[in-house]
Amino acid sequence: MTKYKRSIVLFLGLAVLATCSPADEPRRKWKDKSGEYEVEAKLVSISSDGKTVSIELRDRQFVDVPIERLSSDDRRYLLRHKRLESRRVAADRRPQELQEGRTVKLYGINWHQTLESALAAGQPSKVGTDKPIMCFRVLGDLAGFM
Amino acid sequence: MRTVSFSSPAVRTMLQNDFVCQLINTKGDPTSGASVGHAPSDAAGLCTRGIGKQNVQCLFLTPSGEIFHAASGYRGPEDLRSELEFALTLYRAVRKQPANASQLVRDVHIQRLRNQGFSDDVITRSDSSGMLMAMRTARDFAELNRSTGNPVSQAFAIKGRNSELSDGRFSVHYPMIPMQKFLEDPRILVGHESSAFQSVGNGGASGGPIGR
Repeated sequence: MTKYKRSIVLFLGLAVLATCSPADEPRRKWKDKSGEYEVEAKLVSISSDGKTVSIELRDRQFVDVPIERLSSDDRRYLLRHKRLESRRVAADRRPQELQEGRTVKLYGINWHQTLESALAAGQPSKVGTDKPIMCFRVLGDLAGFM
Repeated sequence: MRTVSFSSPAVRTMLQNDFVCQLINTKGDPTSGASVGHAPSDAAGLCTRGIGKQNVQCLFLTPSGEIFHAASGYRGPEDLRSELEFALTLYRAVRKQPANASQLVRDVHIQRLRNQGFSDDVITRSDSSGMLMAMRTARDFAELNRSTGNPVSQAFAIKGRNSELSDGRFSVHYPMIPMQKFLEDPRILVGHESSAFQSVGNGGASGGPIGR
């Protein structure tokens, strides 16, 4: 593939990324290695082999971009993110009682303790649409031995 | 699943933003399998899709408490994300046609099973014989894997495929079943077997009795 064609492919990929809006990560500008192309997008995850970054689109689709094609600033940002993420995951493994309702926060997710509480939280509200309930039945304690 | 699937940022983002999550500890439930009890700090063991269905189930409910989709057994990050996307799409369709929800859930799951390669007679059969299903899918997989012939990977593949079939058949035969009704007899999803796989400390798998 010629350099010109690679640039077109990267530009199209980054143009798609411009519509991203996941919740956890801040929106930031991403540049390619040449500095020629720049878009705003939000990070979702880094692949386990550390070669690809995944970004969530506004339409809920995820796009993967090879990290080697990104600028040095972006790659430094990803390194910082990986360190912070490791600490956050470790912290999330400790149970944290939330102040409102009968929920427990584990692995960064708020878990309702009763079906009634979950169903009530899923009802339509003025601030948003209703949500389906994901009930996780598991043998053991998610925060302890299982 | 907690140290692998729920620690995936993409899975966590979807669960936090698009779902209300509920946690049920099935300890003491007569339909549960057995577990040696891993600590959160233990390294995640190797696990394949659909293994441990007696111990782990993701049930997807409407806010009215009706189950419209189920995924039992282990799901890795990509598989779980795929189940969440499927559930979300189906839920939005159900919301648009509440009067036709049961038929819609049934039809969507039949089509999904067809896409996974299951024939209509296997999908709609009313019996719940795990052995018959296992024999059927074992035969299918024996054909698929004739060239490789790895018995261990074949056994896990059969188990995982059985799990996909029984999950889909649950939604075909019990579309929009109320959660409270399901809890009266979870065997309609997890089966009637008297033993199950369990994970052990070194990341391997072993057998164990149901209901310990």
